[in-house]
Amino acid sequence: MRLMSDDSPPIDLEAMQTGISSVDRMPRDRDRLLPALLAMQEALDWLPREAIRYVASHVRVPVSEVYATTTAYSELRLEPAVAGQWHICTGVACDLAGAASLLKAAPDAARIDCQFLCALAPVVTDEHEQLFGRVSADELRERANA
Amino acid sequence: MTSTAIIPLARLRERYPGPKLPRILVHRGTAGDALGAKRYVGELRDALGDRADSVYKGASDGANWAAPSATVFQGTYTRRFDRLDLNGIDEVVACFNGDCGDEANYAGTGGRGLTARLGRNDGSLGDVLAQGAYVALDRALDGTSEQLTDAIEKGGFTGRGGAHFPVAMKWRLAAGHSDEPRMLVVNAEEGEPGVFKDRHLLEGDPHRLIEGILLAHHAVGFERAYVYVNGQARAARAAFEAALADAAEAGITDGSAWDREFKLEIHVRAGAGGYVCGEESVILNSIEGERPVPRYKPPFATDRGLFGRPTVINNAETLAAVTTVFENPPPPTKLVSLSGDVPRPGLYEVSVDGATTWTGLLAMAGGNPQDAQAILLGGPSGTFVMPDQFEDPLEMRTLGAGGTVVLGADADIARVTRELAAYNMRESCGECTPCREGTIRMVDLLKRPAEHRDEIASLIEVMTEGSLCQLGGMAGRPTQSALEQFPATFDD
Repeated sequence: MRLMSDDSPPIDLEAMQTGISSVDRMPRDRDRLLPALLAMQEALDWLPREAIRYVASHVRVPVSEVYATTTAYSELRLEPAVAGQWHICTGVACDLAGAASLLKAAPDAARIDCQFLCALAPVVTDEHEQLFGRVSADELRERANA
Repeated sequence: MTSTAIIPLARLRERYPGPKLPRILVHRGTAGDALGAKRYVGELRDALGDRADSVYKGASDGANWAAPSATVFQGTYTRRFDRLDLNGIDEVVACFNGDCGDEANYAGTGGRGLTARLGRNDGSLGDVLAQGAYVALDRALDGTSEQLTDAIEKGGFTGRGGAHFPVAMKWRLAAGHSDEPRMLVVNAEEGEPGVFKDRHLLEGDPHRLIEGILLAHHAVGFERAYVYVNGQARAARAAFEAALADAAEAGITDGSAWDREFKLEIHVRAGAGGYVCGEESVILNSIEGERPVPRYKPPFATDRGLFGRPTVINNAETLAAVTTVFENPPPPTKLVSLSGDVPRPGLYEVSVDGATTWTGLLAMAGGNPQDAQAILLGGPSGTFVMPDQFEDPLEMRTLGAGGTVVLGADADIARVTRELAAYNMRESCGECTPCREGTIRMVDLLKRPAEHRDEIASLIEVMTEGSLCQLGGMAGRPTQSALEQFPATFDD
């Protein structure tokens, strides 16, 4: 999480336009705030300040409130996701099934909370958020380096 | 036109015919695809040659341990073939051609309960109609809303999200409210680690939830229904939206298939993360575009809920369950998400009939009670069920949302407890002090719990009594339970 500052990463203007088109199709009501933020993130992959401002004006809610709402949701990103990032689930079932050894096998992968595929533990997600179940350390090394 | 054409369901089935048999269904969905089930659709189609169109894609049937798997439907019987990654597809093809091997492995053609069709259909309306979808709605429409609510009450249906509140009572509170219009909110947020039932339901039998929503509408009368789906559960949302479009096209959601007018808008909303978003008043704020934090109660949602209107909030499983109301007798069942140290982890629909015990549940999953130190029930808001309780019957009240993780002999209870406390700290929304500060303090105290027993106990008391919602209110439970049941584990 980080405050909106002037050294934000550059914005993909074409993606921004896609996001704006989606938002424009929504009624200008407050209850579209989250759908609009999600539509923007779907298009841009993250929520630059301009996207937040656009959503705020569309649903007629102060920017400060939209920002406060955005930061309250763990899946809304105020900065671009790390490219190529793998995640290793460290929920209880995955922990029991050896998530720690997966973290050792792929030191660049990040920890992530429960992915709700507990019966397929241990679970990892690749850079495209595709889930893999019953992953062994060897298999992970192979996939993550492929 | 045949004489049955005047019967609404027969008319629908005529328009949306079921699939041709025999057929092969590959169990994909999020669970199947996480184990590469996708490739077996292609492999089986190649193997079947000019009968390739007999291979269909379905979702997971809940038997996650068996994935990747495929089921052959022969008309008079079905048989699922497990672990295609280990066993290959030869047996599947043989069964499709009529040689299904040992008869002991056959399953019946139809199940009962709310998982009867789960993952055993290709997602099309015709497929589920052939398996009994919308039969309960059809029957309910023959009677009054009071008759339906009475049947729900008699069936003993209670909330399956954890609070166990009687469904009929909640529906009557809203139905009896003078203020209109009324709202329905369907909680499919499912953010409790260890629970994966609603994802399975929405992916594997979304029409069951639609039927449940329409039953609730018949009983109460809503203007709008909002189905709030976990943001990460993209496949579940997509499957539900596709089913909703099919049901609308067929005249099911607007009632025209029954020559009626239901006057109900059904909206689908995606969440965006956060354990607290499963709390019902948080969902109301989230839908309204407010910050996702809990509301003070009263007012209760049935008086003043979504947009200030009388609102019924039902868990997705609850509405799926009420579709079984006319099954005789209505099965008191609960979906249990079972993971951890057992041979066959997955989603189980268990009878909560006073006869099924924890040992029985373990046995379903091939587990041996002697191998388990405990069962974590309810994740970060849960408790440890100990071996001396394994012979106790399962109770709807204690099962909560049904998230269970079996902790084998090697499981490190102290580590699990600390991880759960850390999870609660990360997920606290910060709205109220007992939870915001208490969950941080708890993590700190758990570094040296032996020295802080009294402080931990009083902290749990404050969080339990003082928190605004159940995230904080129940955050201390795993710690309390672990310290009681495994005191030695924390003595460093």
